[in-house]
Amino acid sequence: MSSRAKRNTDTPSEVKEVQQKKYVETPLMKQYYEIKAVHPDAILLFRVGDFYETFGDDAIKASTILGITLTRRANGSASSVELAGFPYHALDTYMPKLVRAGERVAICEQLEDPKMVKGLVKRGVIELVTPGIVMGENLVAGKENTFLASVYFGRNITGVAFLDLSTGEFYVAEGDNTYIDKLISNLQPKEILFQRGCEELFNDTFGTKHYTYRLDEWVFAESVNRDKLLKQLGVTTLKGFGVENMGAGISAAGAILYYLDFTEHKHTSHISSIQRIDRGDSVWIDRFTIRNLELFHTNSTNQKGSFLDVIDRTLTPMGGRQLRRWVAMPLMSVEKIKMRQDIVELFVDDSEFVAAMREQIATIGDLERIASRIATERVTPRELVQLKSALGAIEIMQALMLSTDNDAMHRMAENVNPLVEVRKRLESDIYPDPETNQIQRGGIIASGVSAELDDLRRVALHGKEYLLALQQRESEATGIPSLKVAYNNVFGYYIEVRNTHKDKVPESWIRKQTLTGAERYITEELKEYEQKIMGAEERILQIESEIYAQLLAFLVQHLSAMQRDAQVVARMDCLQSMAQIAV
Amino acid sequence: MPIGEEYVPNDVVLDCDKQQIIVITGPNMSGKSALLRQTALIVLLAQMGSFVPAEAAHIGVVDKIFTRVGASDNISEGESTFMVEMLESASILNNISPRSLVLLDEIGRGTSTYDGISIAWAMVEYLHNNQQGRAKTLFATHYHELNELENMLERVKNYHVSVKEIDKSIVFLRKLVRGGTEHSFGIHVARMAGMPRGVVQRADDILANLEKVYGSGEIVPSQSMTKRSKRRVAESATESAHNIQLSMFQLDDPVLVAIRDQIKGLDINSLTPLEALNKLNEIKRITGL
Repeated sequence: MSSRAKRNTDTPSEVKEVQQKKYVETPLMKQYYEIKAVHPDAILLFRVGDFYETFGDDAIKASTILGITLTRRANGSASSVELAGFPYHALDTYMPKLVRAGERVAICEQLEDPKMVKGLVKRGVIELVTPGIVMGENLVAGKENTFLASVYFGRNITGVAFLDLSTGEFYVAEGDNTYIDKLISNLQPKEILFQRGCEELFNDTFGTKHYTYRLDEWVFAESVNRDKLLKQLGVTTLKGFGVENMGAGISAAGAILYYLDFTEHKHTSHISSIQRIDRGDSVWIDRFTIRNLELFHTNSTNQKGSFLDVIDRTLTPMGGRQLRRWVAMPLMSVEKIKMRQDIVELFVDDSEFVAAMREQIATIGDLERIASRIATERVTPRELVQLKSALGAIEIMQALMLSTDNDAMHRMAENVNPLVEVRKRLESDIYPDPETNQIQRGGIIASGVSAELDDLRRVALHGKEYLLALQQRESEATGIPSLKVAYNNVFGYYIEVRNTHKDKVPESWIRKQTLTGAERYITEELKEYEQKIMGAEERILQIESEIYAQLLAFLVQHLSAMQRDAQVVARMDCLQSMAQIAV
Repeated sequence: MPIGEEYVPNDVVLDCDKQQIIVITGPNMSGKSALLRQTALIVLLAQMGSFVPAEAAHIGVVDKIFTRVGASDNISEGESTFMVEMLESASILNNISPRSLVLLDEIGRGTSTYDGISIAWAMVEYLHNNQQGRAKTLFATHYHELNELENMLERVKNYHVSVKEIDKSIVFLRKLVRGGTEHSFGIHVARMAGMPRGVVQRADDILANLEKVYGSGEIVPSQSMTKRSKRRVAESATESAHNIQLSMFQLDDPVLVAIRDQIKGLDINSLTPLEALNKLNEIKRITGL
């Protein structure tokens, strides 16, 4: 009974009330319920030490979806609570499964170092992952956009906005509900936001198959949302984007920005422009036709074989995403159609040229998403190496484009910025083959960037040789042949001497531990050296992180250029793909 | 397509003056659906800016592509086969424009033969006589009764996908040829699919009996009825489409949606009597009454 009541409740206070009846609260559980109350509709992954734990109904759901063990935890005298958890490093494996199962997932971390505080550690939700807003590499399909849509039913007209957080693409449109339905079928968003109170209208118009989330009406207020958009896009008027007069569209777009904030997605500098989708620009293809022609999915099974699969010869994920949109929205303008055809023809006619272009395009990778990950500070060292080679390839691609005598190609090439200074900086700052893919673990910043870093690395690197030398020296000085230098977590570095040679140990050595067959000592010199090495390693990581942060701050300034480059690459990729199927 | 089987190229011509609607008949499995889809996909490719798989193509800009396939079940949404088919068809008829490309595949197959033929017949008439514009249409069907339409409507032309009958088996030639065809060869397909011999035999007998009793062409609407209906085609077709929607409270019709939106957007409390009357007038205008 109580579990059903809980599932149906909407307001946090009710949830708490029910839960209080059910469980006796320890301080940890009290903290849990406080956080859970803010996100009642999400599965809360609650970080406890090295584990993410779920409790109560969340645990029941998580254990079914993930196939992990459901246990019970005694919480005081008479009551107990369901519990299911997994180790923190398995987050990347388990979280996508939850999201794919259509769950919203709130990730709650320990915000303080447990070593530094007494009592309960402060915790907070650092990210709310929903089907429509996902960033992780494991969650987004390469050749498909993950759109979050927002629909606003206005007085006379309906507004819609689409955002792909992983690429920064942001679209807005207005029209009657049939048109909006068509757009939704074309772009296939993974999640749709709409006004609370419009459930019936929404389901009647767009069907019940979409994953939806309702927001209060005030979230869609136009004037507030206009300001929000201006702030996000860093402009003083929306005229430049041609969306100035799209009231309902602005309401919808603003709600998306609100939702990003609400789900703790604060780094959004890659969302720097918004595009309008006009009714007259593309061929009207409704959802029945999309299904009947099997444009994106086959009707029979989940196997490949849709129209898109058949014609897709793109080499980059962003090209794949672009092609998908071209299929969903074919052109109406003869001029634009001819422009594309001319370039396809050029590719078809010159096989050497197209081969050269393909070679460059193939090395570029997902530039668009790398740009977004720089903005959200999630970019990994290997992705930066990828960015470096991508920019190199883009420079060659630009030269190739300019070598043709096609005007449209030239215009596109002029939009390309190979960001030579960015590439140089990446070349000098990052190892071409980083030792790890996590800045926290170091081994990423190249030598020659910081003199201090280089010195410290020398100390850390030569530590082993130094210790060997010390071992040999002491061995000769004391005449103990089996003497050895070793390390453990309790004493740090120590010298071990077998009992047979115990009497030869000099007086200056300090005995630390006695074993059955041996004694362990430390010396002044050894301790001093230990501090130096340990200090060096810590400091190395610190310096590497600092340099990395500076590098990211530098890269952020070039985001829009990267996004423009990515767009040109995507277009070129689609056009060469069309040339491939033409021959 | 299986390796070794050769692709058969076909010419398709549609225009606004002479050949606006093509009725394609032909037995099951002969490749009618493939022809329809290939036409749609070629148009789509062309307007994406791509080359198309054809020796030559002359394609006008299309602003809407509609395709409907009869009998695609949608159990998960709890709608019957036929209901889905009619919903989809209604949304075409309500949205066509002069530059539309309409592909109808076996529309009407989800219901009884007479009902199906009647609906298909009326739809072709509606598309032909529509005031909104002459949408280019390919209509695949195995109701060979629809071949009669060529004689009554000037821009309707009959084609069929040819097959060759050798002894009791059939060979699919997959070639689009002018003129209609009479046979569905459904029983041949049943035989090819491995139906028990007894069933196939019995089906053959029944077919022979039926043809003797009713003759072919019995279920074609009489000339007089057609004339009468011709006058009222547009009305009745729209009417029937509306009836379907109204009876199921479906709001696929943009007019209804627009009216509903108008009413939903109203704030009764702040409405003056004059505004209310104006609003009513506006709603009346939307309905086009």
